[in-house]
Amino acid sequence: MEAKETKRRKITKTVMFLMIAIILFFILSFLAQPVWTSWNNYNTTHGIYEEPENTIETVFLGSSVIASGISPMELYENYGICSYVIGTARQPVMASYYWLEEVYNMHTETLDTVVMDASSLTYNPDIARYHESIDSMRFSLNKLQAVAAYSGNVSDFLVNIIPLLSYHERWQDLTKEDFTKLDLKVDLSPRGYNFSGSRWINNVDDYSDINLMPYIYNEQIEPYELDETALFYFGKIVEFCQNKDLQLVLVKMPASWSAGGHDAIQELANEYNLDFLDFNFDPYYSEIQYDFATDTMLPTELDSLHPNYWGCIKLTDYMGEYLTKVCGNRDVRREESYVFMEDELEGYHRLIAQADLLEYANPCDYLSYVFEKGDYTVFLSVKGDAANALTDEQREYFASVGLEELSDLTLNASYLAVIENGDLSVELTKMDPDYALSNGNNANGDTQDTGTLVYRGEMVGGKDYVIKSGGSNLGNDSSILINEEEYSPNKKGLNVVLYDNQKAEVVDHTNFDTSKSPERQFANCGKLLSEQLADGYTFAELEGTERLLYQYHQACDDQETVIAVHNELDSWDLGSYLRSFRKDENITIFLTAQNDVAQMMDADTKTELMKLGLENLSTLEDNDAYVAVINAGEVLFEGESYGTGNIKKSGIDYYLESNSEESNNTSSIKINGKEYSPKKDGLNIVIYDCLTESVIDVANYSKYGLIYDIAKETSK
Amino acid sequence: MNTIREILLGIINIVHETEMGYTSIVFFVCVIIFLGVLFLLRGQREKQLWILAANLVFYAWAGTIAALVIVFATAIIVYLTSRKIGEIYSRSDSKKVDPELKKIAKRYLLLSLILILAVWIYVKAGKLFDLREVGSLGNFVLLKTIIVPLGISYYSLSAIGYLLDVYWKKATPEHNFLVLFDVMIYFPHIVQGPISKYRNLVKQMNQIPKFDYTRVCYGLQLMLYGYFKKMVLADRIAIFTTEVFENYENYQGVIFLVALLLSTFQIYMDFSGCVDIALGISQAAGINLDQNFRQPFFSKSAEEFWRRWHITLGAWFKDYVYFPILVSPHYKKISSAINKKYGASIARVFNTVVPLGTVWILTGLWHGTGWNYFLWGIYYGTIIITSTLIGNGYQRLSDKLGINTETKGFRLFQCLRTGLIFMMGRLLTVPVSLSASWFILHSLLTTFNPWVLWDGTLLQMGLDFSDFVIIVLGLVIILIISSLQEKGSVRDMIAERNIFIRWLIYYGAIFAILILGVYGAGYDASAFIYGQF
Repeated sequence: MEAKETKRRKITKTVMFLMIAIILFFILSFLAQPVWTSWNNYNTTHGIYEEPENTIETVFLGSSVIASGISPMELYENYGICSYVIGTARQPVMASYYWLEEVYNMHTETLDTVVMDASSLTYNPDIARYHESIDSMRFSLNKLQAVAAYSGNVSDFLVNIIPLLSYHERWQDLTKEDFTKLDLKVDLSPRGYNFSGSRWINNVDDYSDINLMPYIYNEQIEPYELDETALFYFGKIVEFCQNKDLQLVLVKMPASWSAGGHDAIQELANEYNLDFLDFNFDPYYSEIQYDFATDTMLPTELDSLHPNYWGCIKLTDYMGEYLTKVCGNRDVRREESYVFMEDELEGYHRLIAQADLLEYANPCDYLSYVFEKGDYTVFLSVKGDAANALTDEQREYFASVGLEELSDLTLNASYLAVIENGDLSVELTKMDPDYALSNGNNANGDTQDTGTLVYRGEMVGGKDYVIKSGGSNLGNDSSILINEEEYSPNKKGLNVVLYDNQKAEVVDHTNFDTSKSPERQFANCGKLLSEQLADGYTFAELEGTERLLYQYHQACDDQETVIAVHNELDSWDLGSYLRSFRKDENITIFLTAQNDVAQMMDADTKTELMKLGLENLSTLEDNDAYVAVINAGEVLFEGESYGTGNIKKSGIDYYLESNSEESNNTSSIKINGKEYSPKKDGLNIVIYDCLTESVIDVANYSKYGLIYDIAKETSK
Repeated sequence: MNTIREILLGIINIVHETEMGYTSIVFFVCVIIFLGVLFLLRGQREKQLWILAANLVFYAWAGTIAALVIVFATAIIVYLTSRKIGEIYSRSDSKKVDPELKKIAKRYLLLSLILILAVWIYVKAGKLFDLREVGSLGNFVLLKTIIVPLGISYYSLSAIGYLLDVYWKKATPEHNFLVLFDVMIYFPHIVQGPISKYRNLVKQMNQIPKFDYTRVCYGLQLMLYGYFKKMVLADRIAIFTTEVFENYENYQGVIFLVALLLSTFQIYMDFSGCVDIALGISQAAGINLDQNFRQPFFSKSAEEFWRRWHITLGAWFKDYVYFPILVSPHYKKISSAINKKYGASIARVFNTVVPLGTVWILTGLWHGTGWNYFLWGIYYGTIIITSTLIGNGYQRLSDKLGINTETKGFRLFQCLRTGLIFMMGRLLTVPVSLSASWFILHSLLTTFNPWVLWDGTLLQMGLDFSDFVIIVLGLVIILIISSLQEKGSVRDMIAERNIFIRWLIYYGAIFAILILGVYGAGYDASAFIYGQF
């Protein structure tokens, strides 16, 4: 009896022990599992399970390029197609295959089309990407198979399936996010789309930093190897689609690519009799009028090229036509079972409002758009000064929306404000001590206080915030901390942080330097440029980003010539550069000197130039002025200080100037009135192509050697 | 239907690709299954068969099938020889063995010893002469390639010991081949020992006890302790020492001192950790393996160290090499001849040097083939022989100088001195070659760069600051446990505590191993930073 008693006690104890261990295990496992919120990964992989069953007709599979290149909500709004994008960072084809099965299981009755991004066939990524893609797949036989497939052995399988084991080394990397991830809400509105409002052209100093597009399809194609593992699982996808009677389409988003890669995929597509839409090459590239400069995000060192929101619109629009006409996708907009899409659409509109906000150059337009949309919290904080360039209209507008202090803002004053859903919660300002003294105004009471303005508060949702503002002499700082995270751009002028009360997240943080000018630069340079060109602006009149964009477009148009010339270049020296262009009878070369060129040339260069017939240049004396024109391989003209004339064959007028006193020792090369000279010390060179009537390269030869653009383009 | 086939094929495939080792998760899962089933079985024969099944799966999985054949052949030899010797001895009724019969038995004994040693030496020497490992059994028999059977250094010694025991009538030959084979490839001890006395294990294998709550608890605790030592400490330290010793040309001076010190702890944590895992599993199953370590770093002399470190190896050499040499008639003859000719003191030297020298050179060669191990054997042999010879003189010197050798401080000094001797021994065996050892020794003696200890250099060898904190804390925990072990069973001490403390210790240990253990693909935060589409 007693023995039985102790036995029972021991069993209870063991069971208790194991239960506590299991509970602890699950808690720690939950903590260890990272959530990937970047690239919309979290919403994508969790959101798919929230969608009503048997609704999705088309699924897009692939890596991040498809997640940023296709927006299912645009497809719904304009074509009535119900689709979803499953694209995670560098998603392996293996993961795409198991996700396809997952989606098929939930949408067996409606799933009809599978669109797969071909770039994922080119790689087999490291294990981290498998985790990012598959970790959040719900527990099922399918998931077990997926994990087994990338694990390869039982030990790794167990490690990979149990978060505590896969991420046990993460214990010292755990962040606040890991302890609060239960609060994370899935945003269903993007349906797998990753929004970005970054434009490449707005983030470069030189147009040549952007890849020339479209890719040239030439004879010298380097053979391209597709990844074997990727191909194996692609075969399984093809088989799956055949068995389940699904249409499979291959696409290639505009990104880093080559003709060899295109051919390899095309061959594969032919083998399986699939459509392959490669948006990097014509006809598709031209048809959607994709512009790499304005439709691509700024690439970081780590990642490659991705379409931004505007690029996505173009791509999605094409896919909408294609899916409707070729694949026969239905328009479900009026169907009762798709009413939920209307709610998602509303959320989506708020998401892409960020793109609209970028277009506002005037802070008043920005604010009025925000107030009109409603349900936002606006944080304002001044760094340095925001008053200098404010116009009376702007001050009036601020007064009209209740921002009295901003309306009366004085020079170098600190200023901060919070406007919650259109209502002013707080507005504080602190006058610059010097300004107050000189104006006999001692509003602060204590002019000795030179600290920054600080305000702590709590938003309606319960999140804490701390705002700081410091005028030039008051700390010169701006900080907007929401839930302990810094969002202020902390740049001179008015810093704005926009918090979406519905989405409970910061959706924009930007800056208006109203100390320098009333309006910031207009972000949509493509739109501005076409307006300017329509107004008859010449190249010389173009400025800033618009000028860069114009140059980029010119270079794109001429890139066949550019590449042909580059292939001839055998070295980086001046002689070989000039010689390679001289061969082409359609090329005109313009040269002008700025400051001292003679000293920069060594004996070899001089001999080379002599051979090219540039006698004056090779015998140039210190500080001599120099201009020259080479046309169709012949030296047309060599002179000092000035040169002007026209080239009959192409009908261009040119004007050259070198080291003249009037122009303050600069060089000038004007072709048909437009200035092309880089105006740098040394020999400035402009290459003009008579065939395409455009400047194809601009170079400068100085003590730093020869710097030209063509090499940069084609060596990428 | 198709999917089921696919799933099955998938399972077979990933099982095939799985490596089996003491610290692999698969091993742990298998052990739990093994113990669970074992406790459900009732009859001795079922249990023995189940253990055999586990042994075969483990051996084939961790080693190769070809190696299994070699072990099986060895087991047959041992079994037949022991039975034969037993049969020969049974011909005479008298308790004392007839010298004639012993002579016949000796022939069988020698034959099988030569066979066992030949395979072993061939495998070891083959490695030395760069014979290709892996290969078919046929090529192995033709001496073209080598197959290194898992645990050959362990089971060969034990098998020899068992045969000698039978020959010396210390053990009765086992009649049940299943039991003998089970003992020989018993999976907990086959890889890293301890070098068991088969005569003890055979007895236990014939009387496998039923489930006992306390025993299983104790066994699992020992396993946990082993996993802690191996996975949290040894494998973590290994990251550092591997880097330093493999790329020794890049480092200098004090770095080597740190690496040697850490590698001293590493070998202890690794070896004793694995042995604890083996002992723990076996204890849970109901079979007690021999202790292999008894807090070796508390030893006051090198000689004591080797009685506390790898105990079963020392015991084997003592039983089967040292004593047999001393008592052999030939040796006695030579010894007394020397005594007569050169006097007692020279005879004493001879009696110390020859048996101990033999033991230590063999011990060196047992650890590994190559000159560094030979030198290592000589190194220890010299130290131990010297200390044996001058031991009394040393004590007298201390007495004269008035040094009290019984104080705690002096004992600590002795322990540190012993540790230092061991550490310098590591210098011979850890680096990749003797020239590397020389390079390191030279650098240790000529370069003094203590600033590497605090200028961040130490953090560039794969371990970050928190790793060092874990190592130091872990070693302190081991030190505390070891000092408690000197006084008695730590598991008994834990059992006396209340349930709250007990469970806290258990959960702490389990999750410390899971979280701080070095295993898996390794989470690299930077790998998760988004890179290329």
